[in-house]
Amino acid sequence: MRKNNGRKRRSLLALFALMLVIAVALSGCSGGNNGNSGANAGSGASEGSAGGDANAATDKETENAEPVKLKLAMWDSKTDLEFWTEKVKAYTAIKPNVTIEVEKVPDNSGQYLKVRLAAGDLPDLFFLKQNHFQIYKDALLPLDELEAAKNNKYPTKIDGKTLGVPLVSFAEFVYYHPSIFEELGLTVPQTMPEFMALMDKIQASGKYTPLSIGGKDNWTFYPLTEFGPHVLSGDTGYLAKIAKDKAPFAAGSTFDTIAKMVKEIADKKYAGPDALSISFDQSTQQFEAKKAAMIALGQWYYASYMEKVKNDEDLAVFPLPFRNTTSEKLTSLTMSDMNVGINKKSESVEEAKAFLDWMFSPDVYQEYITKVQQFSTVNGIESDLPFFNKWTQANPYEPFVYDGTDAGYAKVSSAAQYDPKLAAQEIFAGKGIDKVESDLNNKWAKAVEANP
Amino acid sequence: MKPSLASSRRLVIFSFLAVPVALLLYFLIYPTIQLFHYSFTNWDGYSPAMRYIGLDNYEKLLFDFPEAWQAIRNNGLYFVVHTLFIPVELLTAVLLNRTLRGSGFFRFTVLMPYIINGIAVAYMFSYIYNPINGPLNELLKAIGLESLITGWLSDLDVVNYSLIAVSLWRFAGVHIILMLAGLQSIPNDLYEAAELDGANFWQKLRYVTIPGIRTVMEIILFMNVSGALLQYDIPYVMTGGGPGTASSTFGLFSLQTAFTYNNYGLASAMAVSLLVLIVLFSSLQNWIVKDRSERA
Repeated sequence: MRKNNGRKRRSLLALFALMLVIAVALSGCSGGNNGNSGANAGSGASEGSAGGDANAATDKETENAEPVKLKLAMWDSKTDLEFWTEKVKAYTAIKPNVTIEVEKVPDNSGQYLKVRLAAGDLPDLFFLKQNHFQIYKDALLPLDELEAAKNNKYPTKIDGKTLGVPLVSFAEFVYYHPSIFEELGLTVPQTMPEFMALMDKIQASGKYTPLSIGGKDNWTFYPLTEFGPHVLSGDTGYLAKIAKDKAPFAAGSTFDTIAKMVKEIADKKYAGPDALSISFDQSTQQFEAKKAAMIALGQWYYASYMEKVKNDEDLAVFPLPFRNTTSEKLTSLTMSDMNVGINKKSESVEEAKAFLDWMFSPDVYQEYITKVQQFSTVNGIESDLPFFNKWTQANPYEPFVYDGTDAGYAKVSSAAQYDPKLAAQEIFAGKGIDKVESDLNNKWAKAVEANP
Repeated sequence: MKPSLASSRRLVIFSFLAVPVALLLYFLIYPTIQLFHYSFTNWDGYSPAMRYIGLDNYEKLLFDFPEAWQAIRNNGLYFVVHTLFIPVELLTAVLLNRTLRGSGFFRFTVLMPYIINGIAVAYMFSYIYNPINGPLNELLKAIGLESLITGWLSDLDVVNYSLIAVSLWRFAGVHIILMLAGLQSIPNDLYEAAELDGANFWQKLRYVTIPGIRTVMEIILFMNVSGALLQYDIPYVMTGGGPGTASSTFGLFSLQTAFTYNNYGLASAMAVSLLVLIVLFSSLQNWIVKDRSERA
């Protein structure tokens, strides 16, 4: 009898413990629900304040008094991170109820934010690259009415709506050491054959690597196989066009021309004896230590060079001459970047818009663009770039404005798993151009058929 | 009416089971079902909508992506080399099982690579293989074997073996420790009896040790199959699957399919195929090493 009682007591105790666990779990869930409803109420309030009637002003005052926290997410661009982390404090000084948290996103390929997009947890404002817009377009707020968008030279438009406002634009260059050119009696090349001949002369000197490439990191091939075929085509709509072409990598295509150029660089070891084993950091170190005469990178590299070398006395740039004769136009790929977009489901859309306008306001933007040493995207504001002004005057070119937002290209290139930088790695590793191109065309044709 | 003892006991059992079973269903069974479900869709990984496309993803995997076959071949290479090393690992375990001076230290040293974070290991070996002042090339130069220096991570014929060497360095230790645990579970009487019968070292290994650690060996062989097929962190960090896709593995390829190329549907089909392959190879392996002595 006593034994039975003992068992019963134990059973009851166990049941009680289980109920306690369930109760705690349920209260946790309901807490979450409360949180959500609070959030919804908050967003309702901010939507209400967007109206323009007489009561709205009072509502706005009340709302302004409430603390608002905005998240501004950007990838790991050191100068941007440092600048905005410090600068947003000035915004809080103007609007004490608004605090901005600058959040570092671990990658600039959009993978991290894609997961947050799927989970419905995007930051209020975030940086985007042009090719990300097709992914995020449904989550972004149209910005056409904002001053920041109206004043911008290159607002990113998708389906006619401005969804991103770029902070910078920059061009692609070949950086070189004038002292090496002087020593070897070289001049700035004007055409692609001259560029190849130049590399040959530097190679022949036996003292320097002609063109430093960190081929172990495949992205370092982007000036060649990603941008090269595009610039060489002379058509800003190149990407949209190849999205409809079933064999854009065939012999005689602009891709083919660049592939042959890459093969020559690889075969003649213009990028050193084993460029595929060199990382990006090692390639820049080689260039900075003057073991390499040239390196092809974007304008963004200048800040990093200055940080390490401290002066630009022995540094100059010229545009990579994607042309066969001097009768053709000399262009250099210029693209807008660091697009800022607003999450349309942000709880504080109005505050996010106000903050975006502030980012592009003359005082703040002038300070920013001077710091990052890139071209201004805002009408009426010029960036002070003594180095680039000097060398672009000495080696002039016409900007070739890059458009990477085409929906068809985004679909087809994803379906075909197309990465032109990997193709460059394969050519460097010794794979035949014919094989590389036929593999690419096979996959591309199927992707075009599946995404007409 | 009071509930009977049996029914209240049942109630308690079910109540206690409810929580772990619910967790299991939610965190294991449900995602697996979803994985199968996604593999029949064209989901891109972020859109709220997806379309059912039947077996298209499996068809694409088989016919449209030669990289997938190349990747699975690379996984096969990991499996073969690791399998060839199992006898060496067993021999090491047998030697470590003897009472040696400092055997504790050796056992720890053998296991240590497994304890170190995989990403750190990959970075460390990237440095070792580096052509500029990399320790491996420096060592070869110092001992006069300069002719052996090659592009460890850039030569298409060498890169996979360079990565497999890292994998061996990392995982051999845990195999050895498991074998050691198996060895220590064999009663000493069997060895004594074998010695009385005049068995030498190799005979004891063949007739006492190996049958004694059969279960452990089955576990190791399973780990070998699943480890080889799931391998992705070493190539991901050291080469990113390159040059091109030469050192890509199936896991790395599916990861890139999902995240870089926004095709969760296809990536799910790859994950399902991988699951099937692991089950298939493990069953095959278990059938091969099955104990048939009783039947005989």
